[in-house]
Parts: sequence; structure tokens; C-alpha cells
Amino acid sequence: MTERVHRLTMRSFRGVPDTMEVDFGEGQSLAVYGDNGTGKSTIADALEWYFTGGIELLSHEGRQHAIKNLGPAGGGETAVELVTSGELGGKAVYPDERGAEAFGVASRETFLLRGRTLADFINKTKTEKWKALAELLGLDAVELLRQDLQRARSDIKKQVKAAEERIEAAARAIGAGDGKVSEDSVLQSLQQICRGLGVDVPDSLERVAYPAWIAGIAGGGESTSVPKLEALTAAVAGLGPVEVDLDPIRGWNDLVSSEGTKDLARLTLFKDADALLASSPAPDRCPLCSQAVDGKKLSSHVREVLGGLLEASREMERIGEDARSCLDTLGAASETRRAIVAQAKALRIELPRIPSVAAALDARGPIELAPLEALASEIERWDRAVREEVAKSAPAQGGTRQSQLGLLAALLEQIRVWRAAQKDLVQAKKAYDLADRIYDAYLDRQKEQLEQMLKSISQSVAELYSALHPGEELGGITVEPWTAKGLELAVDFHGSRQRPPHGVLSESHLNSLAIALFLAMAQTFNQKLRFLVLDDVINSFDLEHRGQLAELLAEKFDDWQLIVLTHDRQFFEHLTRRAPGWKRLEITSWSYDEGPRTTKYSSPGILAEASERLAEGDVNGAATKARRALEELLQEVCEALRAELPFRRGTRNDQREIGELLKGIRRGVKEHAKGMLEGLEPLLKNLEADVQASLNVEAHASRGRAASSEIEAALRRIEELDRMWSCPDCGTRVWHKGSPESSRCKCGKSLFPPKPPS
Amino acid sequence: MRSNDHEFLSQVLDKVEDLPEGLGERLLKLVEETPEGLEAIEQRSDAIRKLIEEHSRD
Repeated sequence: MTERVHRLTMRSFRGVPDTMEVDFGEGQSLAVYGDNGTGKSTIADALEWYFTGGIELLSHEGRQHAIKNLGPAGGGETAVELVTSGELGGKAVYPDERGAEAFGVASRETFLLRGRTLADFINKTKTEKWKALAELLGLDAVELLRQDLQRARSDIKKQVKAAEERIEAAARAIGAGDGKVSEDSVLQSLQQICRGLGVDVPDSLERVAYPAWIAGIAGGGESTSVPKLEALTAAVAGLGPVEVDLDPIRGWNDLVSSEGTKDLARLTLFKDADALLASSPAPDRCPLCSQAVDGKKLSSHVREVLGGLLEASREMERIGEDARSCLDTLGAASETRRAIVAQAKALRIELPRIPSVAAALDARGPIELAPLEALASEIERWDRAVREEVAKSAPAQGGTRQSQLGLLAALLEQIRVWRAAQKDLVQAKKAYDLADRIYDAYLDRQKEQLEQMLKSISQSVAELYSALHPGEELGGITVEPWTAKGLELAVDFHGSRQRPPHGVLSESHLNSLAIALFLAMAQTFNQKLRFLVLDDVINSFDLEHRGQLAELLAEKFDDWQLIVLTHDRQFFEHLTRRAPGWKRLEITSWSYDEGPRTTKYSSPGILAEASERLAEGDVNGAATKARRALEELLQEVCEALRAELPFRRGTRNDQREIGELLKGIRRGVKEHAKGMLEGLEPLLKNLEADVQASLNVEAHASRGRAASSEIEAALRRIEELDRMWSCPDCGTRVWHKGSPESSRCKCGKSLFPPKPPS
Repeated sequence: MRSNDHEFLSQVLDKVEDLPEGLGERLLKLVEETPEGLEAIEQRSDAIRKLIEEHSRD
């Protein structure tokens, strides 16, 4: 179910010192007009903070505290309350202790576009765009699984290679110099030897593995013991060339010497920090050094560093595996030869000694290459020398039956190794084939999904851009993949492909493209949020294109809830004319004490707050509120009576002194209802006196606080003035509007001019 | 709760021909049960490899 916003209430939040409520009816769209600095963006800030837990503008270090209103009334609870058409409503209180799960929807869906960050998506690098899109579409988890499948497949491939190497080594030992033997050729050799010895001739290689066959041979011979010299000869004959490529060791040495790897020592620390931050609500202090921090920012930073460290750790593991395999090969070759040296010693044959491999992988430092290079050369020399030495001691051709049995035993051992390695290879290949098919299917689906998404977005972007710039020759707008991990916007411009389009589009055209992309993404991917906030996005647009945008929003997004904030009066009027069903909100000014002021007068509400303060014993607070209520009421009356007041530019109209407003009312009443002025004058005079005395908080400081009764009397007089302009039956205002008929209240019972209080 | 990768893998496995019986369910269960923490995901590839090897044995 998609959700819309019904009501937004901000308390002691950003530019709102007290409370500001924005009513969206049953999820209607809203156009908000206000000059710069009147606090209209506070509405966008509240929605951003509620849905994401942060405000991008304040994301730099040390600015987060400005979520709380910093004005005089900012001591109360800072909160944003939201009522929506579904389950996303609720209350967020500063400091924000909501967990990551509270922001799941906003992290996947698009809802806020600001003029100041309008071109960000277009300006982002290719990989950042990919990252942004991946976050938006929830592709991260899919990508992580792809990496795991790839790693599993790669590990199985290594097993295939290892089995192939074992087969080759065993084949050389069996007697094939080129490492190529077949079951038939091995069986034939074996049968020939068995016939020569007069023992049971096997009809398959399967049979020679049976213990009964081995026992039969032993029984048929002169001795069951294997003559050692023949075994030594067979072992030396089975030695294959040791081909060691030391490049993986060099790669390892480069890696462990690099700066990035040195940071890996902090991996455990960052894992612990990540676990600690994930298991507790976002802290406002660093758990280690107790410095004040932004908990969410800290968590995000820790995760980012941890991700980098894990990637480096995987890289180290990958290169380390190749280096380890290289050391293992050398180690195994050395150990085999050391065993032959020991075997020869038992026969009183002295063979040259050969060193073992002392090096081991250690992340703290590189491996010394010179001893390894020396060992590889030494093994080559040793093999040549030992072959010559052993050949001198080898039994003559056609030796004793015992020596032939020894050769047979050595051959059988190599056949066993060869066959086991073959079996391993079949299994590993089968596993690799399966892993490969799964991985390929995953890649295909990932590619297909991305292409579908990009096609869908591209089509929407093109349509929306075209609606903003009808008749302009810019075709082929697409969002395209860029290598494996990048995205780029591309356009056709007079027959040539431009990627990115910055070279051929003006700033305003790029901004149009960004708006089109934002709207297209919301249209394509939003599943939960059915509202969009556009905060001052038309700064670089001319009049015509502002009109096009208003038309686009009003017509193509009439099934969305749009919250459009602007300081452009023409755009505001244009938009609300095109979309008569939208709500309008005009913010006229902002003050440090009162926050944003709208065209909606609210003196009764402020009077009620003043009475509450008085009941709580807060005399100065009650006086301030009462004065504010009087200002609000006098401004409303002046506006309704079209009272003549000196011209003032901009928001200063909202900052007139009470004395000036009272003069205006006297002028307005004199013009439209001269007869009521005499009856009204005593009340106005009393109110003037109240403003000078009981409602003058600064005077309280120098001359002593006003008595509660004085404030109460002033409140009653303000209420009296307020009541005067309202119908006692229906409560609606009664103003002079030209003809007597139109100057009635809503129920028609009260007429202008009203009766002054007696 | 995991969602995207699990759902995605499920769509992929449906398209893999001759998938050994039971492997699909076990892979999906593995992904579903992997907590959304980086440490667990680090070891997931080993578990996937073992499952594939196990299901490709004769």
C-alpha cells in the first residue's frame, strides 16, 4: 500500500521555536510559497529528518545540533510528528534513537529533491551513480551474493587445477615423460611386469587395489619385503621437474609493503566497533573516547571503513593463497628429496643434503626471495646429481626377482596416487560445472534486471524531459551501464552521442534532466512512498520552463501527493492555477521569537496558550503570548478592513508596532463603519495601555512584574476585540466586503459593521 | 530479515537446468539464515562451495 502525508507537526525543530502544524487534508498536494529565509524549507527538513534520521545540509561534523531550534523557546522537546495514510506515521524525537530499520523505506525510495542538490546525481562520478542506484534499488545484497558465488566457483576451480597437477606428477612417476598416460597403457605395463614375475596378471586396474590381489603376489614371490635399493631407484625415477613461479611471492611482498595493508591491523577493532554500534541505539558519545559524536554518522563511517578493510583482507587472502601454494610446492619438493636422502643413507649411499623451506606467510612483512630462488636452482642441480649417483648403484637389467617385486610395488603406489587424483578431478570438474552454471545464471539475471530497470528509467526520463522541453532537439536520453560497476547519463545531440551530457547542455537543461530523473525514479521504483517533496528546484528555469514544470506536475503527477516549496510567486500562482485541487500555504515572514508566520491568522490559539501560561504561574510568558495574540488580531483586522498603512517592502509588513496597527484600525473603521468608532475607542485605548504596561515584559524587568490579574484583564480585552468580529452563532468572521450581502458571516445572521462591546 | 538477495537467488535457481535435488532449497536457506552482518557474509562463500560440492558428488 502506498502512503501519503496527512499532517505534519514540528515542535522546537529547526526554524520553528514552538509548534507548527501543516495540514495536508486527506493527502492532498500542497504548494508552499515563502521568501528566502521564511522557514519554508523547515517543512522539507522535517520530512527528511523523519524519514532518514538526518538532514543532508547538516551532515557535516558539528552541525547536527541545529536540528533543535536554537531560539528562546528551544528548551522544549524537539519532535516531528507525522500522520500518514498508512503505517509510516509516528513521532521522531531529538536526539534520535531510532534504529536503522526505521529508515528502510526511505533508503530504497525517492521522495526529496532540493534545488541546492539538484545536479548532484548528474555530477556524481559513474561509480557513485551506480552506488546511489544500487542503494535506491536495494541491489547491494544481490551484489554481495554474486561475489560470494563467484568466490565459491573460483575456489572449486583451484581444486580442479590441483587435481590436474597431481595427475601429471603421478603420471611422470609411472613412467610417462610427457605426463600423459591412459588406463590401458598403465594396465598393459602392469600386466607385462606381472607376467615376467609369474604372478597373477590383473585384468583391470580396479583389481590391483584389492588386498587379496596384493596378498596373492606376496605369496607367489620369494619375499614380501621390498628391496630398498629398487625402491630408492623408483623414487628417484619418479621425481619430476619442479617448476616454481615466484611471481605470486613477489605479488605478496608488494601487497604487504603497501600502505593500505598496514591498516588491516585495525580490522578486528572495526569489527568490534561495528558490532557494538549495531547492538546499541545510536550513541551521542564515542564509546571509546567519550567525545560528543553523531551516532549515525559514526556508524556509517565505521561500516564504510570496515567494508574497505574487508575488501583489502579478501584481496590479501586471494594473493596469499597463490603465494602459499608456491611455498607449498617448493616445500613438498624439498621434503620429497630429503626423504630420498634418508632412504639412501639407510643403504649407505651418501646423497647431497638439501635445505627445507623456512619461509612462511606473515602479514607483517615480505618473504625473502633470494633463499627461495636458490632452493629452486638447488633442487634442479640436486635432481641431476642424484640421478647419476643412484644410476651407479642401480641393480643391473634383469635383476633378481626381489628387485623386480620392488619395482612393481613402487609402480602400484604411483598408480594408486594417479587414480585417486583422477577421481578427485572428476568430482571437482562436476562441482565446477554446477557452480559455473549457477553463477552464469545469476550474472544473466542480474544483467537482465539492470537492463530492464535502466530501460524503464530511460524511457520515463526521456518522456518527462520532453514534457519540460517540448520541441527541443535532444533525443536518445538514456541511463547506461558504464563498465561493470558504473552508470552514466547519455544523450544524442545533433547526431553525436554525448556521455555525460555536460558538454552540450546548459545548467538549466541539466537541472531539467535531474528533475526528470528524480521523477522517473520515483515513478519506477517507489512502492511505499506516494509523496514527493520538491524544495526550490526551479532557480535556473526561465518563465516558460517554470510553466512547463507546473503543467507537468499538475497533469502527469495528479495521482501523487506533491509538496512543492518555492520562493517564486509566479511559479506558485501558476502551479496553484493549474492544480486547483492543491492546498496552498503562504509563509509571510520568519522571526527569531515566533518562527515562520503564515497568512492564516491564529489569534484564538495564541490567546489560549497565553491563558495556559497564566494558569501555570508564568506571568511573563503569558504577557508575551498575549501581546503576540493582540498583534496577530490587529494585523488580521487591518488586512480585512483594508486599513491604510505606510508601504513597507517585504517581510517588514509583519513586523509593525502595535501602535501603528491601532492607528490603521481607526482609519479603516472610520472609512467603512464610522458609527462604530466611538463605541470601539475605549477598548482600543485600554488595549494601548495594556501594551505599555502589563503586556510590556521589558518594563516588568525594570519596574517589577505585572500582577496576574492585570494580565488576565488584558487577555479578556483582547478576547473581547476578537469576539467582536465573529458571529456568535457560526463563529466565522464578519468583514466589510463591499455590498451588505457579501459582508455577512457564513450563517448570514451577523452583518458588518459589528456592534462594539458595551 | 533478508529480502532482495534471497528473492533474487530464488528467481535464478528456477532457471538453472539440472539443478541437483535439494540444492536450491539448501542454498536459499543458507542465504536466508545468514545474518545481515559483514562477518557472516565473509564466510558464506565457503558454505556455498561446500553445498555445491556435496550436491555434485556421485
